[in-house]
Amino acid sequence: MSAVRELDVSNLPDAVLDSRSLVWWGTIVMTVVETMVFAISVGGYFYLRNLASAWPPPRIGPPALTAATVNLGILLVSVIPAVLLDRAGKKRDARKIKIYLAANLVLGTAFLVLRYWEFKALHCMWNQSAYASIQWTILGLHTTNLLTSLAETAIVLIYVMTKPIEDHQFLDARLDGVFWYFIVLTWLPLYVVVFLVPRLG
Amino acid sequence: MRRIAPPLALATYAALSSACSYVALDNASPEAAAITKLHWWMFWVLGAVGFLVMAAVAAALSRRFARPADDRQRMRAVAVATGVSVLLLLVLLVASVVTGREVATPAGPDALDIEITGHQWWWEIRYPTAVPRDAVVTANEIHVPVGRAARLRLGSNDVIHSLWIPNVDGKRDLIPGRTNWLTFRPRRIGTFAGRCAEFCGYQHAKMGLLLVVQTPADFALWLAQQRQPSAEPAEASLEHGRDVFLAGPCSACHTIRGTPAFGHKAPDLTHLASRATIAAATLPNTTGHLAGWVVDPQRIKPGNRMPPNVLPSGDLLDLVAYLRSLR
Amino acid sequence: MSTPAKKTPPETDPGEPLAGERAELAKTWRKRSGSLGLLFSVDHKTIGKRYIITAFVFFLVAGVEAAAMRLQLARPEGRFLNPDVYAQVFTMHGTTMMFFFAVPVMLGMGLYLVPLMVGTRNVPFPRLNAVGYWFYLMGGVLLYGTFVMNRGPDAGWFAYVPLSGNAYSAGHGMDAWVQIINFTEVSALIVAGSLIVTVFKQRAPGMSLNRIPLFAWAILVTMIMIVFAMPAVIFAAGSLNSDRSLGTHFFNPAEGGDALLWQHAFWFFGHPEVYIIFLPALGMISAIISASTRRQIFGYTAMVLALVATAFLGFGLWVHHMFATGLPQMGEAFFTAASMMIAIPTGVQIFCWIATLWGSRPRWDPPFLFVLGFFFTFLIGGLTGVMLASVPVDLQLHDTFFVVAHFHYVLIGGAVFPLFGGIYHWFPKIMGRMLGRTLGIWNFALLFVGFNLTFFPMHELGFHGMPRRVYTYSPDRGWNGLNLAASIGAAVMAVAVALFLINVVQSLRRGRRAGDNPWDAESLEWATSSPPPVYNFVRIPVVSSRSPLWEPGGLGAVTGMPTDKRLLLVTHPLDAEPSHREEVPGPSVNPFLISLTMGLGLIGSIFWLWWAVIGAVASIPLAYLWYVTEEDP
Repeated sequence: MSAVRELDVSNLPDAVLDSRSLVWWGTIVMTVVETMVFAISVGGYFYLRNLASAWPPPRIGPPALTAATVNLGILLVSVIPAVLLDRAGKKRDARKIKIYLAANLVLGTAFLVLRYWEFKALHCMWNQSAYASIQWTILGLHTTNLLTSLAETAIVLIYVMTKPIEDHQFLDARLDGVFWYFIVLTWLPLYVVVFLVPRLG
Repeated sequence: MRRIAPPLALATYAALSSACSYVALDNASPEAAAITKLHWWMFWVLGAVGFLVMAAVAAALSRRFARPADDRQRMRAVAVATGVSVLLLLVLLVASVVTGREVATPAGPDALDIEITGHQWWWEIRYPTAVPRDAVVTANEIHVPVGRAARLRLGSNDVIHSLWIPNVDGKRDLIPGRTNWLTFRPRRIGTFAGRCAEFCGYQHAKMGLLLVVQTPADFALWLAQQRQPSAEPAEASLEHGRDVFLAGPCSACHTIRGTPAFGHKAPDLTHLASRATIAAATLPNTTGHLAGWVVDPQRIKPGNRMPPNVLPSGDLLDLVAYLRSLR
Repeated sequence: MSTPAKKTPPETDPGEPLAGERAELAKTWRKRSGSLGLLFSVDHKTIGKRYIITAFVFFLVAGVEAAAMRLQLARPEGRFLNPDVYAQVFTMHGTTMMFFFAVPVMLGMGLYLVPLMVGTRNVPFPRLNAVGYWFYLMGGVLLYGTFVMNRGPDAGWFAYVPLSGNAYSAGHGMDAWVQIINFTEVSALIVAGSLIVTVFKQRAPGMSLNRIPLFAWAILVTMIMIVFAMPAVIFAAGSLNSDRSLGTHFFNPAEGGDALLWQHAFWFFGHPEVYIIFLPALGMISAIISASTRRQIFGYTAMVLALVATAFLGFGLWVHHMFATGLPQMGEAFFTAASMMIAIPTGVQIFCWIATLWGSRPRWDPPFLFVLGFFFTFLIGGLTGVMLASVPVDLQLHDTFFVVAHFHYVLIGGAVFPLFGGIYHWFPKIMGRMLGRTLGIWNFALLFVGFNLTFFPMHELGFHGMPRRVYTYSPDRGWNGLNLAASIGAAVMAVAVALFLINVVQSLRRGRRAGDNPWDAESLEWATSSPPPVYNFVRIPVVSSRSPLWEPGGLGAVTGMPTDKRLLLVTHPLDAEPSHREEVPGPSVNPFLISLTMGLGLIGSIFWLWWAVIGAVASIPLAYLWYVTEEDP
């Protein structure tokens, strides 16, 4: 009988904080699903727009830009703490991840509050026409992602404020940052679709 | 056993198919004929492919046929089989696209326009005219002259239906909010059955219609007659029948031109007696069936929109006699 | 060709040098005991088994529905079911078979087998995985709750608007239908996430991309399809739901909506759905053929590329369900081409299997018989599919019984036959006992005969103009004999399924012990005991070929994995070089609780919208609890 080949893995690390980790891959799969949901919704948007004689319907008119543009600015600024959070997690800096998690939460909440005026800027309720329905849907979907992300940030923040921080939390802090990139990145095209395309007439 | 099963099954299949009348085989238009031709073309090509593949499986398992083959020989066999499949599919694709074009040739300027609106569970049929008042409206029976293109404009009043008269063409959906077209050139006189092909609710099963292909002269006669208002009752009992109709709930949904009944939720009855069937080609249009339908339509087509009518027998007889007089 | 060699899995070494490791692993990976422990399960095998068993229950129920329809249609003017009940029954049959049997049973087989096949201990997110099952179960309970109250959905399994809208399907049956779509899509996405990461990141050292078992490849490709297909039905179901309950106008042409938007969105999901069911079955065929002939499958690379090509093309042909809706001709030609070309990758796989079989001496056991049944039936289904891809032919055959015959040949022939074969093949691994051979042969023979007797005549019925979804037909159509034949065939199929159940019960009671590798098969799931221990392998295997159990040198093993924590070995996605170890959470009731709050919220939203919000908010503290207990043993 031949000797069984053996492979010793005893000196491998028990946790990694980067794209090699399983949770990282899970997060990526989730963002792909969400991106696909947005893509299909945008597909629906242009499908309806193609059928429409006027987009938006004249009685509704194009959305106002002020709130949405201010909010876009906030969102772009919010990338800074997300990047810093990501880095702090990578360096296992417990103090900094608390600060940047909090900063992320504050900016995210500000964005969420302004979102109310973005909905108002659509100048319609969801049940007024197909145009109104798809606008509310896209904005609503993005808001749902936003809420999920904020809830996740809050949970991680409460945990790191009250319990000893381990590698697990550093990784989660990084992933929090990554998910925020996703929120920001998806919003850029969605901003164009929801607020600029209707102005093309 | 397994070796002979597939060819046997295919042969049975082919025998059955050619022995029985395939509805679309009985072509009454060049469109249907083109489709039938393509259909059998594909059937035999694909049947041969299926037979060959099953034969290959059988051969692979047979100790006699399957001589040892090395990887290169097998790779070559797989590559050849794949190449042949690609070629055959390309041929079928071209045949399909060519037939598709053939079937979809435009109707031309002299086409007869007919508007068809789907309802749960019947067909409204309109022959538009320059003066809308003169338009002929009927239900569940399309008449067309032989040799002239008919262009059907399809729409729906409620859910999605699909018009399918296999002898003259494939099916086309009637979609609320959209307009579809179906053009065919009937080339043979006769009556052909059609039906709804898209599930449209409880009575989808009983939503049929008839296509009547006539000589141009017969068609002109039919159209002129349909354009007339309804026949005046010639006897007292018929007049009483009309009164029953007008006094009852009937006129809320049905129209009889020439009377005050102008409901639009149900089939136009102005020339009901000229039609071969009632209840969307569900029953022959006879006095008995008509009476049964009037009294209890829910027994014949459960779930349809027409309520039961409890009438004294004298009223019922006169009403049915009146309806039967609407030629 | 590798020849089978006596393998020496590490855990059967004489003298039990690993007894200590074995004991500690059993302790570390133990399940929660007691009946309440059932709510805590996070083991991929337990969850997978639950999916499979639950799906089979739904298969039986949907089979009873099919039998009811065949009873109604056995004779013209049948009076067994009234049109209202008939509409519910065929809607339930389609919905159950597609959403509650076919997809979940493949998810279950994947969940059970793939981690074993790639040589890991559990899926990467075991608790999330448990949530997936609970959602699936709740969806099923909700669906049948409405049906039992005779308020089941009745607009068909693809629920075309406006028939499925408020105006024509008022009441909660359709509302519930829309919600159950949400439940099943959540569950499928969770399994997809689990298995994608499992296959990419948790393969045993040495299992580079070109050594992954074909079944695991098939599952991987399927799961990626789920990721891209499900969002379309999320959008469709969400829009229908809001049209019904919030008054949006997605499908209302009067306000700028469109009825065809539903069909596009639904079929963009619905057609890939067919391949989501079918690709895992192809993987099973490969596994069975390889074990039956004791040969590697010929043309591994071609097989894998064919799977990937099928997945790509699968997203390009949804419109062939909509040829009768009146689309532009250019588009039609494109979709005809795509629909025909998808036959090519499938053809390549069939050719490769034939090349594998060529001159082999297969073992004629039930799994192999089902493979032969697959060849015959699926071939017919595939060829009729090519006919339906042609627009003019489709316009005649669309929505007739020809289509019913076609998709049953594809789905039963292409997925259920392989599935039965797969059950006969892997049951010994899952339950530790063999299924009976004689009963198995009868089971196959009757299923094959009954199936063809039921569905072959339906081609002919379609030619004769019998449309699908009619609750009755008049006697003068010439459809009577063929319908009667179909109904008799359905009865034969029912007997076949009953024989299968008897076989399972007998095997569980007094079946022959299976041993580790009863078929002398090549892949890693056969390297461990039957049934496998909760930790799967005492030592993670190290592989050096495509057929690790046929290696003359025996199977290698990983050493140095601590056994006191629930650790997975994470490897590189391409060459499966070890990268690091990662801890996964253990049993917890949190997945159950959070599924309950969110699920009840969704169900409640049928009656009052705010229940969905309440459910979501109630889940937040549970989510925190989940997070806090993540590292508990």
